[in-house]
Amino acid sequence: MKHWTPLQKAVHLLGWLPLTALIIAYVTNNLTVNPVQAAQQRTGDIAVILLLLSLACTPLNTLFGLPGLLKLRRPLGLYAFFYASLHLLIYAGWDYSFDFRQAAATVVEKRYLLVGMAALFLLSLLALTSHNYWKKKMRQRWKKLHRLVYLAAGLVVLHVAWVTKGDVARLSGDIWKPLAAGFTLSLSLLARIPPLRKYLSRLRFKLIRRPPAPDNPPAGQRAPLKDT
Amino acid sequence: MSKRSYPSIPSSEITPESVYLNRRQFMKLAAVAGGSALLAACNVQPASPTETALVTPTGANGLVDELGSPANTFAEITNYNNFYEFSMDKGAVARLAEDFPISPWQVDVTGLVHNPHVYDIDDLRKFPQEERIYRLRCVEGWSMVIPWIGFPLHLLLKEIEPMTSAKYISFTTRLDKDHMDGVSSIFFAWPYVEGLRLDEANNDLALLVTGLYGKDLPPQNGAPLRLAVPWKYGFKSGKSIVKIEVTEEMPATFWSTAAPEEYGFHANVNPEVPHPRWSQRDERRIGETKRRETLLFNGYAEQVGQLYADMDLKANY
Repeated sequence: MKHWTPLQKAVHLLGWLPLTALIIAYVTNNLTVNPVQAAQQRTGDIAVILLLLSLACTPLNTLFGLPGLLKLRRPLGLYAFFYASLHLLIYAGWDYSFDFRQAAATVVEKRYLLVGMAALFLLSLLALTSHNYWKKKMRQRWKKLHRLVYLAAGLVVLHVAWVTKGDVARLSGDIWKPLAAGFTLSLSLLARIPPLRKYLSRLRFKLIRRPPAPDNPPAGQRAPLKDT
Repeated sequence: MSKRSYPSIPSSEITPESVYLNRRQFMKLAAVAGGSALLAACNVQPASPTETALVTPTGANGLVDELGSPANTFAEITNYNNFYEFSMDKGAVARLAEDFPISPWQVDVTGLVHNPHVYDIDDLRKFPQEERIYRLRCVEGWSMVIPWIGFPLHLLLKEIEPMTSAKYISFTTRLDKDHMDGVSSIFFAWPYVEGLRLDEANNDLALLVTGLYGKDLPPQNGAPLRLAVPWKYGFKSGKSIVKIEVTEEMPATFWSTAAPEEYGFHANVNPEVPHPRWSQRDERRIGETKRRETLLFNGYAEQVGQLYADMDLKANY
């Protein structure tokens, strides 16, 4: 087993904690009288949070110079994919008892389902090619492919907005979740725009007086994980 | 919370819960026994399909709706509540509503009526109370079967006498900032107001509810007075009502104000009319493992279908 940094250990703990809590809630009858809906919503919420955390690593490094965070993007993304898959499995298996005829009859009336599945499909491509083997083999194409995570995250926010009882555009209804997710995603995407990123980098340099860490250090020139 | 009793039901009339529940089993058994006796008299084998149907278990308590579906348990009904004034978390409402003061309670019945009146909740309990086992279908896609105690809304309407110009009736939920944490949400236009057409309100199914499972209504279910309009999505049935107003204009209601393209004034249960973003074809009955098909007007088409005979149900969602 490779040596894990404390941050990496924390991420793996964070990854399994929600599932453990969910199982405990289920067996102790603490998942409301409608456990299907509760489990569906919970796994969905967790997947969204993990995906947004994964996307927050890069801008947080730009802003605070914490290159150790960059190593967390992959495990966070993989856990997000894991909970999103569980989310779909609960929908198809537990909610619709794998009765695809019944589920299919309603698919066209559920656009949130279509964007959700599109996002999950994209995430599955990224998960399948997440191993270093593919990273080395695909080289530049790997980077291009994995930029699809931005599209996936956008679809996920749309999915969350479309399942809520309310209207995000009107700022009315039960909409705090899509608002919070959309806001977080926007911040983390904005911080990636080159001029903004450079500005944030310089800002950090002025404030903390640390040299900016490269966003994606090439192998061999990896920045030390310890803060300098 | 102070204890109250039904003035309309003397304590001698109140059946203990166990007897209340057993009584139904007894009636069923009696029916079977009677049936068997008749069959025996005609020399027919008693193991007929009819008899099997009669003794089919109908849930722990023996209560069933008219379609034969077992009622949900008291625990299910009182621990899974959409009552946004308290919380958006359906599992948390029971705890948060525990100390909601429901006594004293007045209901202002007003508007285009000949006899406006501020009713004390005890006055409303003097209307003849009866048990009605209704299905409740939530717009979110889950449902329950609930044995309400209450009286038909038309009995109240008869007493207050709406004027001929009156066309609508609205029900306003109590807005109590001290006890309802959820009303601090800026994303909703409080207080909660829901409404019906007057002819809908006069339908015998429309019930003003004061109790549940033979007991007083618990706060999380809308104590001390709520509405039950079983052929419409659950959100049409306002809880903890403090004001009933008869009007000529269609009232602005809570959900249709929040998202007009999604929640109409009518909100009749209809599998053919999807919510713009999700299907209404099927539902999860709480406690069941498989989803079931949703019925037109939640299975009450026979009683209410004529109200909408000339109406485009897709346009008037």
